[in-house]
Amino acid sequence: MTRGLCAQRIAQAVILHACRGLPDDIRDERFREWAAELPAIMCDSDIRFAILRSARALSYAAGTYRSVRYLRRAAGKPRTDGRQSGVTGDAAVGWASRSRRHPLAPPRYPDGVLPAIAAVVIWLILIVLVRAYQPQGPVIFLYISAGILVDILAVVAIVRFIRWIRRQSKHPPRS
Amino acid sequence: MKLTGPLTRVLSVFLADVSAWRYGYDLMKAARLPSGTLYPMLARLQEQGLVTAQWEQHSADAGGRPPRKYYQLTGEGVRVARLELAQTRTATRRTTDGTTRPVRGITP
Repeated sequence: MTRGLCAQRIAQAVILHACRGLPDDIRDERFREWAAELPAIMCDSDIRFAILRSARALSYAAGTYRSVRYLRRAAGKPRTDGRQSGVTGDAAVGWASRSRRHPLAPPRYPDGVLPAIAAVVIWLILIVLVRAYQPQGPVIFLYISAGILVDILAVVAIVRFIRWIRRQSKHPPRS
Repeated sequence: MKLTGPLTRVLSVFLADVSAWRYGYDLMKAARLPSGTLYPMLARLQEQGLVTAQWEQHSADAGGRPPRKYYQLTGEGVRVARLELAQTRTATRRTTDGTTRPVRGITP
């Protein structure tokens, strides 16, 4: 399996997971619609590098979580616990979707944990990659971009954690 | 209809060729919007009857890829989009004309 095909499969899995949050009557149609765009992204000649096309496909797939939130609200099915069902979706989009928890939702873990984990994982992968392959040519920009992404994730994690602490101090959870 | 920046871009893309059917990724690229912004907007426009959608028919030049969903402005959509964009342009022009600019060399 090529890397492009692998990325397409992952993106498809992310879309499938996002669509689980939709009502039954529109789930299948939305999944077919969104998954059908992936070949167009993977064959987009305007994006020069295959890795950037893969990243675009994954970002497209992550964006569908936001669409699902809107479609759920439009269909009159509000979230009950302030989050999408499942865990992998949060891991995939977490900070990117800028999801806000419902104020009455029971706290499961502090805000900012997911971006922090993502930052550490990307950072570790970066270290391994830099040691294994000396960056040359345009690949350097990818490393730099990944480094910037780690920084952003770290900042988001800290900000969200501070906000969470403030919220907890104002409204401590009932034991 | 509240005309936001992204909505203006999407309507402009549609109005560039009102007879063209456009699929999601095509619109994303043309309007430079992420999927999480575009699809809710398309759903809203569809609810308001300003946009219509249809599935692509299987064709030989599809190359085995799955059929896409295509979007197009309805007649009412074209009318409303043109009107809203024209009003926005007029309002922007009025704001720009009314703005006083500092004269170079004169400090307040």
